[in-house]
Amino acid sequence: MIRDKIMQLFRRKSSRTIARERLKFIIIQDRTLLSPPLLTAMKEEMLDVINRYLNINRKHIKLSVERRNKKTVLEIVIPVEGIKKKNV
Amino acid sequence: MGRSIVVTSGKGGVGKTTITANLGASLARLKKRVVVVDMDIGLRNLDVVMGLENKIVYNIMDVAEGRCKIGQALIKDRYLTNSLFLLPASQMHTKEDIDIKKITEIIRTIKESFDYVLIDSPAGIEHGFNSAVASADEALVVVTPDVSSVRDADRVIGLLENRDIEATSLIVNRYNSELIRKKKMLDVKSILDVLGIDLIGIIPDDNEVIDFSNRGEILALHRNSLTAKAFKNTAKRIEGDDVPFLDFERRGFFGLFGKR
Repeated sequence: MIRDKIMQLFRRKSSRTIARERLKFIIIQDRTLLSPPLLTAMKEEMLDVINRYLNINRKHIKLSVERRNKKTVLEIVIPVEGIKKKNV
Repeated sequence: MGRSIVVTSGKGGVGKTTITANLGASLARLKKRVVVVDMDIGLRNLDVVMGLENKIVYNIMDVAEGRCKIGQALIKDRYLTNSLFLLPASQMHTKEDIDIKKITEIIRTIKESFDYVLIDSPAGIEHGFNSAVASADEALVVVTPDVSSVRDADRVIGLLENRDIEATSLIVNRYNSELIRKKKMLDVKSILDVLGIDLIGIIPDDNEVIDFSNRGEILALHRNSLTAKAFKNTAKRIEGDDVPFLDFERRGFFGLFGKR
């Protein structure tokens, strides 16, 4: 029924969505072979370096480990808000 | 020279053996000459799924250790007697007894006179897995749509990356269209996004599969159902045909709104 569909929009996440999210998180850990604290530490260190040169938005960073052309690739998307004045 | 293809998964119980038997039969139906090899040494089951357990005289370890010739160990299928053969595992040995070099030699010899060698790999990623993969040109990774199975498949795909495997493709097994429509099961797209390999087959979740394995009959040989068609289509894709995938998301014109 259409009403059920509309109701569904307001209901909690589907178990498919939950499975997908859990899977993505687990796979990142498995592929990087790093524990979550180490992964976070690595990310923070990298961001500190980048932050010396660029203004970045730390809240919207996306980290993923993907398989492309038979190679495992670590990808970090960092929104840049500008360059540091002192470096210009 | 034929192609050797290992059917593997990492996780156990996802349907490797059933898929090996049904794809072997479907390829044989396409007029190919096929040998299915049970590499689950110590825990053989492919013979049971095919209903050939009473016909075993020799097994792959007998061939490897020189007690018989390959031809003596091959068992004809009961229906496709000219095109489908089983090379059974040994029940008396353990996986540690396997000599990978010998197995590779056996598979290479079989490839000379057959179109396909389908190798049913054991669960796990240890020596048994390595022996099953060593002689394979290509790999089929089987998953069921759940988090643990996909996770284990990802590990296996990672291990296959470092080997001389020409192509690795994915089979999603036990795909339940009702749960998919209700968004209560991982869909194929999500699985492919994570695993990043090509899809070659989607096999529906079908209670008849159990019914047939109880009898030791291969479903793909005796049915014209959606499941049998899914196996047939997968076999055609292995052959290189561009066959569209069956649509499990929608059902007919009103499928868009789901069923209840």
